[in-house]
Amino acid sequence: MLDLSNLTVGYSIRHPVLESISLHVDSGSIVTLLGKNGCGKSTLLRTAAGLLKALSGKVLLNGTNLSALSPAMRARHMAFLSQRDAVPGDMTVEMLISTGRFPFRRWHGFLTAEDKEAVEEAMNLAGLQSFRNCPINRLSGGERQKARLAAAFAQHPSILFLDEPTTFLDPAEQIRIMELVCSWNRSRKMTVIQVLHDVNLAMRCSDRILAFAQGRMIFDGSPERFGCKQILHDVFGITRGSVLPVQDEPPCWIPPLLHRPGCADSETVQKNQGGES
Amino acid sequence: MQNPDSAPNPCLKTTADTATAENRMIFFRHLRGILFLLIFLILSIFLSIRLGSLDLSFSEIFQVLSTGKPERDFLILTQIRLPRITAACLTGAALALSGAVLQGVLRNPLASPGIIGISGGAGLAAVCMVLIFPNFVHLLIPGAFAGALLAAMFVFMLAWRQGMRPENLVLAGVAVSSLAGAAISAVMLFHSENAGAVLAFTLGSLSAKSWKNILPSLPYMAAGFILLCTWAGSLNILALGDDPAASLGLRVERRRFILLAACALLAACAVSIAGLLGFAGLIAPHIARLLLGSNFRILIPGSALFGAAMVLLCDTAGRVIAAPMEIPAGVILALLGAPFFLYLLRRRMRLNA
Repeated sequence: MLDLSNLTVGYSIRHPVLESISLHVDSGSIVTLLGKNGCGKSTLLRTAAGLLKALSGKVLLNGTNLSALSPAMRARHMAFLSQRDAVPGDMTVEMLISTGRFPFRRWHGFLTAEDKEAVEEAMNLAGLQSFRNCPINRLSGGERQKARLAAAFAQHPSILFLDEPTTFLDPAEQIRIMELVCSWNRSRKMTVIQVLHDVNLAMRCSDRILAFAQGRMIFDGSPERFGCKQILHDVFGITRGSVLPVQDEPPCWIPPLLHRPGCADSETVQKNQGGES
Repeated sequence: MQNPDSAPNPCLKTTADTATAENRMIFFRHLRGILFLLIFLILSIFLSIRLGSLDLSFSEIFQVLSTGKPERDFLILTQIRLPRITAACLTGAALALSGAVLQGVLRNPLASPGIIGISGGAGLAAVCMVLIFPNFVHLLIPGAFAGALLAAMFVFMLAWRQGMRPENLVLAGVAVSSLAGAAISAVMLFHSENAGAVLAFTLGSLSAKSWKNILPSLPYMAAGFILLCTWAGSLNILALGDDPAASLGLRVERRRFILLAACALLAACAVSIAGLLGFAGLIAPHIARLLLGSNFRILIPGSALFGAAMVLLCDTAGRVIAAPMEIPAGVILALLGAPFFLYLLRRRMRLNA
């Protein structure tokens, strides 16, 4: 699906943020990037999504170099949910979701029946039908985020990039957003690559975790393996006496706090994937 | 499938059945807004034809225009009043359109061709053409466009740092704008023997405009208007933010530059006809947005209509208030515009608090 080969990312060649990142992302998996603030995970995410030029190395989408694709073609395969946006306050939910069809626009610029269907589907999935004509600035933070996510769904991407989708949301809304992502991932076989700050959430709904520190990738494996004390220490610098209940050995250090059908059980996910690929 | 958790939301809830009805309602609201602005513009045109030193009633005006007699009145109407009305409408529409697009592209409500420096660049070029190279006056519009584009490029260069941030662009624009203003003053000072002719230009005046002042700018204006209308959709996308727009497949920096160039073209046309009409490009888009919302598909024609009506009314007021003296339209606009600008600032402060 997506291959990063010997990728160096950053904003200037003299001070690269992350160096020689090589990895292969399986189709249909949920990959979470973790690390301290400023470790370069968002930069890597933006580079992998084609929003930022790689300093060196390549990003391959199904074997095609991403820089060889036109932005419009790229947008038909990848959607990116940025951390911040500037959506005009009076834009309605339906209009916002319709923006997701922009990469598929025709010369006349109006929505086709197919576009409308995609918009309706995304709106129904996010449970936003009743807010169809509601201006964005009247929504709560969680509903607003759901509307933005629905816009990304309407883009029908094969890969969805999420940059901290749950920031500023209360725990219940965080769970709802992640449930939405997971259900779309299951039903559409959509690959998800996301940056999260909540380790709990990351471990509960990822197939694979990548962790970054000191300008390189220091962990690549299952959520269960990530939970061990040494790795947490290496990634976040969390030591004994911190508030988190860290155990010495894997498996998972956080008990399943919330019942999340279909998403928490990452073993079944891996089995499913093994069966498909 | 109502969401019980979000019940406190003040927004009106709709079911799928009423959704299409509501969509239709929004469409009709937009249509009504555009129609309202169109009627407003037509009424302003009638008012402007009616008022002036030649005092004729509407029936007399109609008779003069249809029969062509008496000849003196016919000439006054077709060679003085109508060109002036056309000039006012065109400059108003061009400036308002340019302002509406700039405010969207730069995502800053205070952006306008005057503040961003492109009017200043066009004005400087035009003043230089008139005072220093009077032999090349027939190239006034290309010259003004070149000046506006140069100013825009200069602003881009100043604001460029690892990609372009809209905030920096506005700050750089303010600097370039005041630089151009100072340069205009300097050029006028060095050519003080002819400066009187240019003074009205720097104030923004529509007096003594004939068809030959207007016609050369028509193709440029048409090009700018068509370009902006066809790109209204991508303006809506650009308004979402840089990263969201890029992830939807828009070449953000390139698109922003081309849109800025189209704005520069429109502003240059306006400047070459009427000089520096300061506040038109700032106020008209705001009022249009209050009426129609921020969807560019409706906002672009709406702000053009409102800008045309606004400049026309200001010019008519300037002709009538102190007759037989004429107050330049730019002065009236600034008199109304400055308080409105302050009101916008206060409102923003209140909203942010």
